[in-house]
Amino acid sequence: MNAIFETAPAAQDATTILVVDDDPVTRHTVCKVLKAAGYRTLEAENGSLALERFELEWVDMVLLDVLMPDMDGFSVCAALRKRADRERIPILMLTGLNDVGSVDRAFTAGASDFITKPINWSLLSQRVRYALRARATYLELRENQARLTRAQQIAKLGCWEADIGSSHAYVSEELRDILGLAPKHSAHDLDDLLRAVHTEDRARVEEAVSNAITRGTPFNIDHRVVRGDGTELIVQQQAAAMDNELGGGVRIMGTIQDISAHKKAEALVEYQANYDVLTGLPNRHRFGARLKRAVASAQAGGDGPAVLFLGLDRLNLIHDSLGHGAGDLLLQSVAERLRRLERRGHTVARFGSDVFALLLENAARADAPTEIAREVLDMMVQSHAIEGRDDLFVGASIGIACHDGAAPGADMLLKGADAAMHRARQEGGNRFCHHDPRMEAEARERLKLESQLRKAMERDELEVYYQPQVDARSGHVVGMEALLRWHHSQMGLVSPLKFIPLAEETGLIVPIGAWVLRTACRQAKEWHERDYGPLRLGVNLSAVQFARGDLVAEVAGILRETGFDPRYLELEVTEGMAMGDVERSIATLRALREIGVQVSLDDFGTGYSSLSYLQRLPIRTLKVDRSFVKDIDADGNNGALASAIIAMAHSLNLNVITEGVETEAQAEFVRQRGCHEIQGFLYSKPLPAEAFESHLLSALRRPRKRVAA
Amino acid sequence: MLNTSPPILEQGTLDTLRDILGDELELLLRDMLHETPDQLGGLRQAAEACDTEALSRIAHIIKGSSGNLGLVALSQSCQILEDQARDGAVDEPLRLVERIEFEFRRSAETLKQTFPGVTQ
Repeated sequence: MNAIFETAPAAQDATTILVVDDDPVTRHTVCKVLKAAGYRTLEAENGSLALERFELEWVDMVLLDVLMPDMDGFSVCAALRKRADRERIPILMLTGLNDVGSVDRAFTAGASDFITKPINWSLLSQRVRYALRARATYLELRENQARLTRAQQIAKLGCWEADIGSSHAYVSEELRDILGLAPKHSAHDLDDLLRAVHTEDRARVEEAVSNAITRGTPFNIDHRVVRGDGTELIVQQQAAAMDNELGGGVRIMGTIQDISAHKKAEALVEYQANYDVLTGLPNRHRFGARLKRAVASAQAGGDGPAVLFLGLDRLNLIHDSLGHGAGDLLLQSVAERLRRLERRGHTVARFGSDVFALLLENAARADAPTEIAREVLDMMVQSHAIEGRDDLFVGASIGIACHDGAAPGADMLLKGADAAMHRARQEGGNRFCHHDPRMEAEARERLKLESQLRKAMERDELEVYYQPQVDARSGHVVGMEALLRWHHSQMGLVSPLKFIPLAEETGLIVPIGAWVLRTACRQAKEWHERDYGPLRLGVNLSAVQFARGDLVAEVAGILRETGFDPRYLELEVTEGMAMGDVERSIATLRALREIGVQVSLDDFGTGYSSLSYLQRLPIRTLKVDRSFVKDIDADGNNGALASAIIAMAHSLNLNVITEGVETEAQAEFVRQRGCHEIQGFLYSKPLPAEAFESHLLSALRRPRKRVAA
Repeated sequence: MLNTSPPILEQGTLDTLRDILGDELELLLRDMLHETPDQLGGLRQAAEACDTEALSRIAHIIKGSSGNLGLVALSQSCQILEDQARDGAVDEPLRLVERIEFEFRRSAETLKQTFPGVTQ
């Protein structure tokens, strides 16, 4: 039982000690004693062998005698220390008692400690233990230091410390990296650090340091730093002063963190909060702020700003037909053009998905907003080059609202410009309109109407009316046109001229249109079953519906649902719609034909048509617009155009219906020129289903007008 | 200060080694008893040749091994020779060597009496 050792520490199992002594007896004794204490030993009888062993095997400590045959112990010690310095391996030298000279030389050679001879065996392993612990402590400290440095590197955090009296400063490695200081000398002073601060920020930093020292106030400031290579960084510096523990004087310590990346991220967030990512223009938030400032400075004296809203006409059609990618590119193209106005000090912003806003400040000349509006419309005349095509046009509706002395605020200007823009759109687009205070009332009414329309279907306020189409010769009813009517509970009958464009603008026309088609088909089917003859049903399609990709599928679905024979359904498409994108129109019309449905071209003669395209359209019927018959008098004057259209329709083998016939003379006129069917107040105004049916009955049994054979 | 009549064995040292090493101590002692005679031979030759370097070196070795094992008298006799040899001049080297040889025999005898196992 070893009385000396209570427990053998577990770590000693792995610890290897190299014993170097030319005296085998001593060497063996030392090894045995160390082994008994739980260490592992290696032996070498001279210096060269010792160095060899050291290279080949892992050694935690060396016990080394001073006197040896080939190399003296001090040289061996020095050689080992060179190799062992990084690991701080303890080297204990065995020196002669009272041999102070050896002890000194051992120290110079790099020995960690000395053990006098003859060896005190009971203390030997204790001395070893102490030496190993010192090493472990050193290694732990070094590891902690390394961890701290790594953490600082990751955080881009450096630290510094300065003694105010001597002005010597300690600068951490990480801080040297951040500031780009050359590691030429380990001693820096406070001036080195201050020199790195950007000249414009230096006064501020120096003041903060000075306050920290004299008043003890810690500081936390952001400032710029210029590195050795000239690059600029933004850093956050925190520092505090404290009294030296001993001997008085003041120390000041601080950390410096590189926050340049952080600042960049903040700037990006700031940018995104204020700018539209797609076009790079300021967004509505920023525009609103600018506008408020402009209005405020106008109130302080000075001319008020004018606001222009620019809505792109029918952008949704472009989205539907060419996709959102093209739509986005178009917006960018428009934004680029509008940017030219920025050079003159105006603000251009993206206000909404298809709306841009312009702020004209110091609109000194009363006509300046109008001039700008004209200029913008001119810009819009040119086509845009998008995705390989060069023929994309988009028109703009512009609303102008001017600040007048009566102090409308920013909100009023925005609303006014918006209302004026809508008005411009309603009037056909591609024009500008000034805000009229009366328009506000209109705008409010419009909004109200829109919300009512949304609920109209659920409230059963919508109804389909029918207007008969009469065979020109026999006067029999051969078909009908379905027309939408809206009976509002309070407003009464709302004019279609008012709500249909609204429905088209808001997209409500899609569900409403589907409802109309379904209702009319159901009704017509019922009438078929009641044997009123092969009545044909005409239903209007809006441009919005026509442009939708799922139109044909929807129509087919409704036909299936209602069981109505497609051969008797004639969808009415306006001339304007069909001539828009002719190729696409032809494709859609063909697809409709394939499901058995017929198509008629409505309002013919009122728009811009290419007659060559007309030939290619797969339509069955041409409807002559009412405007061509209304001036035909009893003597048949003013009927030239109607004649021409009817004749052309014949030569194209198309069925012809003339709309808006109100007098017998008009009816006779067109009849004589070969018009097949007639629709108009002469026969009947549009009627609800029940009334239409009773009228039908009467018409079939007693033709209203006898027609010359 | 050298003891004029140092003890042959320092019991304390041997006891400590006994506590630490147990029976292994006898192996060490046996090794020492086997190896030292060769060293002594070398010492005698060095004395006859008046080789102070060798005298100093060998005396140092024997001093060390014996000293560490508590063989004080032997160790000190070697010390005297080592010191003189290191200084460069040895009076009567042979006489000092004889003294060392004598001390060795005495130590060996005493060890064999104290540690019977050592003779193997």
